[in-house]
Amino acid sequence: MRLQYPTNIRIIRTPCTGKLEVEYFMKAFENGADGVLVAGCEEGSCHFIEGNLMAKRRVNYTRQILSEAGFEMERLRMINIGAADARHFVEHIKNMIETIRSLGPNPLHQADASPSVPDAMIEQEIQP
Amino acid sequence: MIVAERKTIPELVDILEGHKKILVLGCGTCVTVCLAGGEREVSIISSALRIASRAKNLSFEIEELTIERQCDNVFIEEAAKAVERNDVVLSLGCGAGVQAIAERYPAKPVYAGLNTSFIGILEERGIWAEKCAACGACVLDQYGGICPVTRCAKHMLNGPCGGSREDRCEVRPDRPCGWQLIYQRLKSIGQLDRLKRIVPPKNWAPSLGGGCRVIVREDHRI
Repeated sequence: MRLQYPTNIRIIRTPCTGKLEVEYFMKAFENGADGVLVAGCEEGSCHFIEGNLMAKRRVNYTRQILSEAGFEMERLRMINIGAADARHFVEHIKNMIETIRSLGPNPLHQADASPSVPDAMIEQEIQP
Repeated sequence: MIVAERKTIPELVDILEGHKKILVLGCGTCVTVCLAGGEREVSIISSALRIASRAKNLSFEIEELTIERQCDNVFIEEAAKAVERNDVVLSLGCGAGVQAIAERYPAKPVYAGLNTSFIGILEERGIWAEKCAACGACVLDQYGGICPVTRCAKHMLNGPCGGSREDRCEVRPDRPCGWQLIYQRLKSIGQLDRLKRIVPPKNWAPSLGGGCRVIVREDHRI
């Protein structure tokens, strides 16, 4: 299986989604990220027992704060996906990018910030 | 500890609208432990305010600072320079902290970013519950260490009321009946006899009725 996914995303690895804090998401948006997709393990299969469940709660809380601040909370999303499930991984990324396209660029993105990655579907391979 | 929760971002924006340079001041004591006004919450609320500011063209300039304790003059001093260079202070301390800062800096508007809720403890992860109403005349010695003033919804001193169901409170079914807890506790420490005494009406004079409460310790005064 040699699947392709859009290159206008940047993957940040964490030891577990349970490592993610509300502040990380807030800073990402403050710094101009158009969207953040948190990809955690499937519920019930966390190596650290409940890291992905903690992440889910933090994502929900952040979405609430973003919404209160007048920012589209749809820009932050969490999915649960198996490490070997490449097909769904690609689907979720494409779906997220569609959502972001319909919302437009991050309204907080400052003029002096570095230009965003070209919005092209450049081939990139992932190993399932 | 004192337990508080944050005001919503629209409430904070309403409070701060019209100001430019804002110091979001956290407190490293009670409100840090109850996850309402510590260093991390200062960061999160500041981020949210910056986002709200850009979304609404309010041009907030936000500085973040957390001091060890807002209700203590020794620690308040650490915030002096930051308070000086900002137009207003949004305090994420409890009500005492906000007022201590306001008293210390009379020329500076100081706003409360939290709603101070109660004196309580962490019951389990993410759940804080009230344990003390600071009534000024503690009766815990008579009730096995369980306070009927805070843990009985009807504040009954000669309970129970008879309305509890399956050891749950009639008023708040999500909470245990305070009097059921008092009975179990007194039973386990062999003091059930205490329940035979009729407790006279409580003296509420040391409570909020007489205005601001002050304790003077002459032996500690200079």
